[in-house]
Amino acid sequence: MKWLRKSLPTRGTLRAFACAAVLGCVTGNAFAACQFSAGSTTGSVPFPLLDPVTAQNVTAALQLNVRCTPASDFAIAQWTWTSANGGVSTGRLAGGTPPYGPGIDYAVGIAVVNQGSNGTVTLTLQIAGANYVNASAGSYSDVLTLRVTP
Amino acid sequence: MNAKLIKRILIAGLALVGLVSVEAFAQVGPNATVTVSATVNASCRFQTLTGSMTLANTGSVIDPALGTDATGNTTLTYRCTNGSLPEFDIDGSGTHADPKTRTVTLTGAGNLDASITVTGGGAGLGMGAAGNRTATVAGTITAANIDNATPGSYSKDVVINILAQ
Repeated sequence: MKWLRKSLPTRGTLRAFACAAVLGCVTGNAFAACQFSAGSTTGSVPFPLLDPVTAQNVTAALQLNVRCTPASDFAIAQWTWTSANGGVSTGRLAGGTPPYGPGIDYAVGIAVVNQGSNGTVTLTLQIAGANYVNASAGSYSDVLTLRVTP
Repeated sequence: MNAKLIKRILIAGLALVGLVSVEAFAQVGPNATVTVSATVNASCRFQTLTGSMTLANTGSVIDPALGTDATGNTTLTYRCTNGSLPEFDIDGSGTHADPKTRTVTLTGAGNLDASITVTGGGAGLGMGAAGNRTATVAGTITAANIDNATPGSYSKDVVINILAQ
C-alpha cells in the first residue's frame, strides 16, 4: 500500500494532468477545421505596372497553404473574402494622384486543391483594362481578407 | 518510477504542449490577409499622328513685299493619364516642355528659319475615348527672314514628341 500510495500521482500532479487535458482540448479545437497554414495567413499581390495607353487586362496570383482536419472538411469548406475598399463581389484598389474616386475594380477567383489534409488556395486577381483606362497615375492598394469556414 | 519523476515528466510535457499550442495559435487561423497593390503609369499619346501647317502672310503664300510675319497653325489631339500634364519636344531637341518652342529650317528654294511652338491643352482626362485634349502647333517666319528669301517652295517635316510630366 505504501508503494501504491507513492506511485499514485500527487495532488499537484493531478492538477498538471487536468491542465494538460484542458490545453489538449483547446489545441484540438484549433485544428478541427480548415486553417490557413503557418506563413500563409498574410501575403501580398502586386499587379504588373498598369499602362492606360494599352489598357490590357492584367492578372496576378498568390498561393496560400491550408490544412483541413479532417481532410473531408475540404469538401464542405466555404471560402469567402472581403475587400477593404470594395465589397464581396469585386475588390477595389484605391489611390492615385490626384485620388481616383471610382477606384480600380478587380475580380477575385479562388481555387482550392488538396491532397489529404494539406491543400493550397490559389487566389487569382484580374483587372480589366477598361477599369483603369481613365485612372490617374500613382500607387493603389487594397486589403483583401480571406476567410474559410468551418 | 516514483511520483516525483512522474511529476517532472508531466510538467515537462505540459510545458511542451503549451509551447506547441502558443506557436500554433500564432501562425495559423481561419483568416488570411492579403495586401493587393498596383501602380498606374503616367503616359501621354497623340491620337492624331500627322498634320500639316501652311505658313503665310497673305492667303496661302508669303509675300515679301508685305513686310509682315508669315504664320500658320494646326492642332493635334492627344490623351494623357487622368490628371497628368503633357510636355512636348520638337525634332529631338532632348528637352520636353509645355509650351515648347524650337527654331527649325525649312528647305527648298533656299533655307528659311521658322519658329515652331507646341502648346498643350491641359492635364489628361484619361486614355478612354472621352479623354481627348488638343495641342496647338504654331509656326512663324519673321518678316526679317522673309525679306531675302528666294521665291519657291519650302518645307520641313517636324517630329513632335509627347510625354507625361
